[in-house]
This record gives sequence, C-alpha cells and structure tokens, in this order.
Amino acid sequence: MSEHPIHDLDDDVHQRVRLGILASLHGVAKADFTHLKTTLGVTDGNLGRHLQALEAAGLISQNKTASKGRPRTWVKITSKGRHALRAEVRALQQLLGALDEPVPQDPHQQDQKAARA
Amino acid sequence: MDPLSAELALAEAAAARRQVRSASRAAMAVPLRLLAAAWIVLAPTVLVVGRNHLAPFVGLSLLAVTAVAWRRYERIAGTTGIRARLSPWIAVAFAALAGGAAASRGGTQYGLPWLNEGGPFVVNALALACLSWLLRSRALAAGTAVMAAISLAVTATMNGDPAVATQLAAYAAVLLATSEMMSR
Repeated sequence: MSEHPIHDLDDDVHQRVRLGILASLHGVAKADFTHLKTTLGVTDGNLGRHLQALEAAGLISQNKTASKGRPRTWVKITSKGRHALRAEVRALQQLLGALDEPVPQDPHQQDQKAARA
Repeated sequence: MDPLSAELALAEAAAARRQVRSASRAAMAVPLRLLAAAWIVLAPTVLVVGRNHLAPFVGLSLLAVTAVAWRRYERIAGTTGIRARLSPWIAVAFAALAGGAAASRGGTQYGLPWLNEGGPFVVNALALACLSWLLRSRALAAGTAVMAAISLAVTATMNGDPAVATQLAAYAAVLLATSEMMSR
C-alpha cells in the first residue's frame, strides 16, 4: 500500500466548498446558511447539497429555527468534523511539502551517464 | 490531485480561518469590556467591604458578565449570522476566579501580603494571556504584560485595600483600551 499523502485526503471533506464550510465553522459556535453562502460565494442549491453531504458524513449538524416568522438554518461543526478538517489540512500540507523535497535521480540514467563518461 | 489545487484549497481554508479568528477577537471584546466595567465598580467596593471579602462580589460580577455577554452574542448572531464561542471566556473566568481566590487565601495563610494583594491580579493577567494566545491577539498579549507590570509596581509601593483598589482601576483602564483595539 502506497504511503502517498493523497491517501490521507478525505473524500467527504476534500471538495473546495466543503473545506471552506468546515474552515468557516471551525472556531465559531454556529453560523447560518446565508452567512456561509455569502462568505463562500456559492448558490443556495450548491451550498445545500454540500451541507447535506457533510451532515450525512457526520461532520456538521444543521438546526432549523424561525425568527420573526422567517426560517433560518444554523450550521454547527461536530467534533468529528473538527478532526477531519485538521487531518485534511495536514494531508494537503504534506502533499505540498513533498514538492519541495529533491527529486531522486533515476539509477538507470546515472549508469548511462557513468558509461558515457 | 494537482499541487495547484492543493495550494488553492489550503489558501482558502487559511483565509476562512483568519476571518473566523478576527470575528472571534471582535466578539471577545464584548465580555472583556464588561469585565473592565465590573472592575471599575469593584474598585471602590473593595475600600468598603475589604479585600478579603471581595470574592463573592467578583464571582457575581463574572456571572453577570457571562450572562450579559451570552445575550449580546445571541443578538449579534441574529444580525450577522455568526455566533462566536463563549467557552474560552467561561474557561478564563473560572480560572481567574478559582486561581485568584487561592492566591489571595494563600497570601493570608502564609503571611505574604504581596501574594494576598497582587496574586489574584497576576492570576487574572495569566488567564487573559492564555486567552490572547487562543485568539492570537497581540493587543491582549501586550495588555496582559502591562497588567503584570502594574501589579509588580503597585505591590512594591502600596499595601492593603488601596493597593487592590488601584490595581482594579488600572487593570480596568488597560482592559478597556485592549478590548477597544480588539474590536477594530
């Protein structure tokens, strides 16, 4: 089994909007649907679908309330969601860190260079 | 996954995190401002009731600050759509109350007036320093350093209830200035 950092990426979290949702919720008690929509610059339908996917994975919880006769959806990150976000960020950092490491030389090419010399 | 997408995703997550931290700092200015107001009220109170009977007043004021801050947070959430966490404040308030009472009692028990008069304030400054680290607030960190310096200067030059009243007033002034900077 390969130990490449891509195997640490979580398919439920990995999508850009989902990562943005979790990062926006991390550190606050809760945020409402409209706030997330404005912050992330997505449509109602798009955000709704991603929230459903995150809720199904147990990474967030949604709570519908009514204030002044207007329905409002509050979104909270769960402890599983916090862990998943940290793990995802760590995996992405490892992935980028691997780019800075020197690329190992192909031993076949080294042999050819030595023969030519 | 290509490196550019990874970098973009990380940058977006970091930007969202920074935005949340900034909102948390601004929100925390609410209980800190209320705490400063409570300290202003407690400064003359200590001259009336005495420093060794101040703990119940401090406890009540922290309870009142927490209740008012919770209401303000709910109201702000209603308009902004984002509800900040009050748990860091509750942890700080509890640590400051318990640690402050222990320092004050320890000072009386072991005959160390500086610990009795300055200890609770240094404990408060330490608790606020922990909060500043949690919020990554340089303004609050600098404020707590000034508070600790005030306690050192006051306990070296004054004693008794006036020393406690002076520290309360000075801490309140520093906290008001700090919370003002945090709310910007």
